[in-house]
Formats: sequence, structure tokens, C-alpha cells
Amino acid sequence: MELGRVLGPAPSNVKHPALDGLKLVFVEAEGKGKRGVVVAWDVVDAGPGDRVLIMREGGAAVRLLRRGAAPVRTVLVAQVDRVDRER
Amino acid sequence: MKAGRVIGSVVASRVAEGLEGRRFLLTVPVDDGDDVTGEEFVACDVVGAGRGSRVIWIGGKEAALAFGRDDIPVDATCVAILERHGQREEND
Repeated sequence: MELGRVLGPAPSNVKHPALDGLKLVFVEAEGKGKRGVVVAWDVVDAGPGDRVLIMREGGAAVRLLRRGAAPVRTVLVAQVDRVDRER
Repeated sequence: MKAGRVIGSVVASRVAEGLEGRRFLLTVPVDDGDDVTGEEFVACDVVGAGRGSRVIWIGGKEAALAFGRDDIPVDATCVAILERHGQREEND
């Protein structure tokens, strides 16, 4: 997983049926700037500015969704409270 | 599977289904001489690794299999703690 920050919602009216009702957000992977911005399915109800863990494994995302074959890969799987780093 | 070094930990109270109570380790990939080879990432842990541990980690769909299931939403898991870190260090 990667540390990231939620930027804001990624709303869409027209979408694949498997994506219906999913909360999709823009998230920026830490240390990568705007090149690190991706769209993710947010299952932990994070808000803009929240620090999160970005998970990028399609198989796990599909099984978490439980809608059969579904075009999802990137999921926010945790809201980060704290990072303790060696210094 | 690759080698890594644990450089910290991540505390998260609100997590996806299947990640309740899991440990999250801030990790950097390293080579056989413990030199950093890439960017840091966060891995789950099944072997009790901690800060400073040198580990073997696995990425991709197999990361979930470390938990004996395939529906855990993880993409990296520490699956072993390295006792020695390869030939290069032993030769130094």
C-alpha cells in the first residue's frame, strides 16, 4: 500500500453498473506530486485532506466489492491516524 | 518476493473489512547488501516484524494469500524476517 492524501470527490453520472453507488475520490500518493494522483474507491469514508492507505491490487478490490467481475483496482483501505518513522 | 527493511509503522483505526487489527509497516525495498532500491511503501505483517527488521515481502495478489485467504485488501505483506542479509554483507 502507499500513503496518500484525499483531494476530493470524483463524481460521475455515467458509469459501469458495477461502479454504481461506489464513492470514488481523487487521491494523491505522498511524495509524487500531481503525477501521483489517481482515482480510488473509498471504503473508509475519508474526506478531503485525510491521510489514507492506497491499495492497488485489482483481485482484492474485486473480491472486496463482491459484485462479480468489476472494473476496480485502486482502493482506499485505511484512514491513517499516525505514522511513526525511523529517524 | 523481495527483500525490505522496516523503517516505521502506520497506525490506522478506520480500516476496510478484513484489515481489522492488522499491523501496517512502513517499508523500503532493499538489495542483498541492504541498500535501498526503491520508494517506501506500506505492508501488512504476518511474522511480527518491527522497526529495523529486515524482511522478505511479497506484493500483488499473493500478498492476501499470506493470511490464508484471497479477500484481504492488501497489495504487500511481510512474510519472513531475514536473519542474515545476503552474501555481500557477509563478505564485507
